[in-house]
Amino acid sequence: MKKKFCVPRILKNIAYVLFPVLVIILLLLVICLTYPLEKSAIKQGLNYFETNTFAEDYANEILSGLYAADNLKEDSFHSAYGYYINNVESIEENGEIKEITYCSAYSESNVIWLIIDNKTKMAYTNLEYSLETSNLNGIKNEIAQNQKYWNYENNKISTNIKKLNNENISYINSSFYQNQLEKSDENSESNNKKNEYTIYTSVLDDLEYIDNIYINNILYNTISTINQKALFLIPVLIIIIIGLVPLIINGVGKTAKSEETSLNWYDKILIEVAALMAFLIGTIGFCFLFTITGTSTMAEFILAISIISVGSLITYLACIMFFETIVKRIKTHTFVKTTFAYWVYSKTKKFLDEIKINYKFMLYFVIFILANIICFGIMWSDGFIGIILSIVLYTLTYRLLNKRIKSYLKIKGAIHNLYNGNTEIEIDRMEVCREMQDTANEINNIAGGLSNALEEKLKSERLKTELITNVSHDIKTPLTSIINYVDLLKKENIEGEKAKEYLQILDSKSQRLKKLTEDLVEASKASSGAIKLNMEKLNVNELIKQVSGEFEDKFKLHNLQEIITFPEEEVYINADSRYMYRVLENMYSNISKYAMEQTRVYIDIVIKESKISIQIKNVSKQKLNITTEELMQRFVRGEASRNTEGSGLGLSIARSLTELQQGSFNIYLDGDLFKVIIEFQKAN
Amino acid sequence: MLNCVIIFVINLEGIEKMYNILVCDDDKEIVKAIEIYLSKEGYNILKAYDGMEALEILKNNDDIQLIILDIMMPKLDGIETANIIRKDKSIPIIMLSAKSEDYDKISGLNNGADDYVTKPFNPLELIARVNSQIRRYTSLGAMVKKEEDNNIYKSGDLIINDSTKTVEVDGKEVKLTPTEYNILKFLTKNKGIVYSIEQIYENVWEEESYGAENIIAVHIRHIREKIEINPREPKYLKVIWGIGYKIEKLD
Repeated sequence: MKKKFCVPRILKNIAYVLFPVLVIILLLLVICLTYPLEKSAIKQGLNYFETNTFAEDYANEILSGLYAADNLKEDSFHSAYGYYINNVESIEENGEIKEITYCSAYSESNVIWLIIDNKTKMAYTNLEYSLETSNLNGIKNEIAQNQKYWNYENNKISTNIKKLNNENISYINSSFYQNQLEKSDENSESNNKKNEYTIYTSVLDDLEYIDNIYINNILYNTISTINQKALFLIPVLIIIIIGLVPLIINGVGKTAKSEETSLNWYDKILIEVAALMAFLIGTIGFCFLFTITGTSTMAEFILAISIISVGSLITYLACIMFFETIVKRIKTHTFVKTTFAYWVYSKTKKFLDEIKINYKFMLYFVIFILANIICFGIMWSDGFIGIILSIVLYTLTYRLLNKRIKSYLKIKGAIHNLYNGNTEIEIDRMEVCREMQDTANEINNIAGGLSNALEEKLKSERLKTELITNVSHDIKTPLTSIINYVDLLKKENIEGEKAKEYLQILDSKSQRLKKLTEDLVEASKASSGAIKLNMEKLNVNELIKQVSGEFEDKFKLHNLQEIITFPEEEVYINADSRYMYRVLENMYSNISKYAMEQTRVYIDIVIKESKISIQIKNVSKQKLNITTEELMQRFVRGEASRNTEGSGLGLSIARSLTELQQGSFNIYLDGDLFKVIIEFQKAN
Repeated sequence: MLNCVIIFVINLEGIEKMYNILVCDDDKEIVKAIEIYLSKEGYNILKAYDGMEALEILKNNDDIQLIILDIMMPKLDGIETANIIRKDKSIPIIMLSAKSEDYDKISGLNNGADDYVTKPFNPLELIARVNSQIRRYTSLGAMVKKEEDNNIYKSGDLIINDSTKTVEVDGKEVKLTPTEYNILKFLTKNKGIVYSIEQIYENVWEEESYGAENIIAVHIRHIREKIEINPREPKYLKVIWGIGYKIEKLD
């Protein structure tokens, strides 16, 4: 027996855990690879800071700074926003001394900015007040010392960030700011907004704070790193995952106790129901994933993460459960049988099998008519499709009818064979339509029964022959002594006429007993067919000449005149030479025994199309008040006394032997005319 | 009766030495009957009632010329006995059995028997067969010198001397009519070949046959009655029914 490969349980459990982890990693990798992340930029090896993502983030930071500054100037309580007046200093501008007040606030942002309102002479910054430089120039220097900067001064933008080179990020064009501007427009009559602010911004070289820019930078770096390795990692992961599949499939359905696949209730329900259940559970788990939206606090976030984990686990378990049941069903070959389609199919089949054939026919007929009406309806609206459908319908109907007619013919043929005595028939169940399979089976059984009965009969005939042969052996031994001692007694010259007469009777009776025993064996052998035939091509004319030569003396003794009519040509039959002689010998010896003396015996050889018949006619000595059937029976002779020689088996033996050689043997009686016709097929 | 007496007389004249025949049958009465018949023929009979006894007698007596063996016997059956005897002796064996099927005869002849006689037997037939076997066994080689003669046709113990126009079977002369003699000579000359009535007619009469004669068949039957021990089971002149006649090639 082939040894089945078995996976240790521990390996299977590891595979179960490892599988989803690897799948998630694989999915992430694939997402990374397909993420539209400025593939050209990656190819050129350029930095995040040249990307649109960065540019947008940066612009948002600037705009939020502007928004803050705009709001601050209307509110005198700067502290409410975390800003406070840090310093007031005088600066010289265009030859006049002006006083600038600047506010600062602590903000955790990687973008640092300084916005100066030229009208109100107010400056705003998100740099910490405790900065060592406590004047504007110091702040400007602080900003300028970073590599990425964007400045707006006297209607001019100066920047080293390519994506922000154009005025696309100009605060004037920003819709976000525009709205704020329009609002303020209603209150103040200031027009030339363009000159209202002077802006200095830059990004910290070392990103210190966790904000959008920081996160995006990290993400960007990670993804670009992963992308470089993904092409190598994905095939490896796929191979490992594929490698795990057989391990899992092999382990599915096995319990700690047995190696056989065990099924639980879930594996036995309809596969569609199982799929629905798995889908619902999976969906519930999947819904948990959406709780992530709308979280703001850390606690909420942690809660969301744990809910997501639980949800993922539920989804994963649902998937695994469904996968397992499919594998188990395939392993136990119940997959197809548990589908809804199969269920419908089997129920329909059962229904069709159970209803009576006439109702079934009615059902088929109604379906046919309905299909016909539908076809005509379709033909009304769309001729072509209608015709195609009609052709399909008629072809199917024809096939259905044809199969039934063929089955009918098969069964008819089998019955005909059976009627002709051929019991070697076997109708293949698969070859007849379902409605006739039972009938086919029954016919097969009848044929089997008949053939058994025939075999039984042959067997009993053979046993009878065996019994007769054995009994005849046992009779022959004492008979030998009787015959021999009668013979010896005859030679003893016993005195007295009566003794001589008695001896004569003993002699003839013992000889008859001998003949009877021999004939009995031969008759039983001939009728049971326990004779080995040696078929040859025999010349009928020659045969008749030979046999009449043998009997010439006996015929002469009884004054019988033999008249033989030969055909003009030589005729041949296929028969066994020895047994053919036995048949004719019996006939001739019957004639010499029972034909009336001084009469003629006619022997005619007649060619009848493909047959050759030997007709023997003679006039009986005795009145033949007996039927041909009775005459053919064993031990029956044309006389009641049974005193003459002969066993009464001659005709029976002749007929059996003729029939064994495929010939026919018939007796006709007409008054005292006794006629035997032996017919054989003509041989070429 | 007449035949028996003639053979009896011929044998009495020809035999100088008493031949010993071992008769073996479990039926004592049959052995006794055979003894009566064969003693009258001038043979000395040794009796055994089973195969073992027969073998015992054969061991002690080398001067046995023929064995008549029954097949169905206690202790050791006829077939096995014949087999054992055949291992070191070439004494003729005649099987005598109630078994009359073809395959019984074939198995008997295949196992060392020289002849097969079925029970119940005709005493005359048995005697004729015994004589034939004894003659063959005791005078083997006597015919060799005659074979040189061109005018001698023979098959087994059937010898036709065309110079003297005599036919001899088993050493005894047989009287045939001239027609019978011509038919027999033609068939013996061409022994082993089957001839139809028409062919025999044309060859013997040397004129065309008219097809309706069964005279040949009658002659053939007469020849058979004269040369065969049992005309129904001929040894020399065989009838193939529906085909023709032939002289069996027995050399």
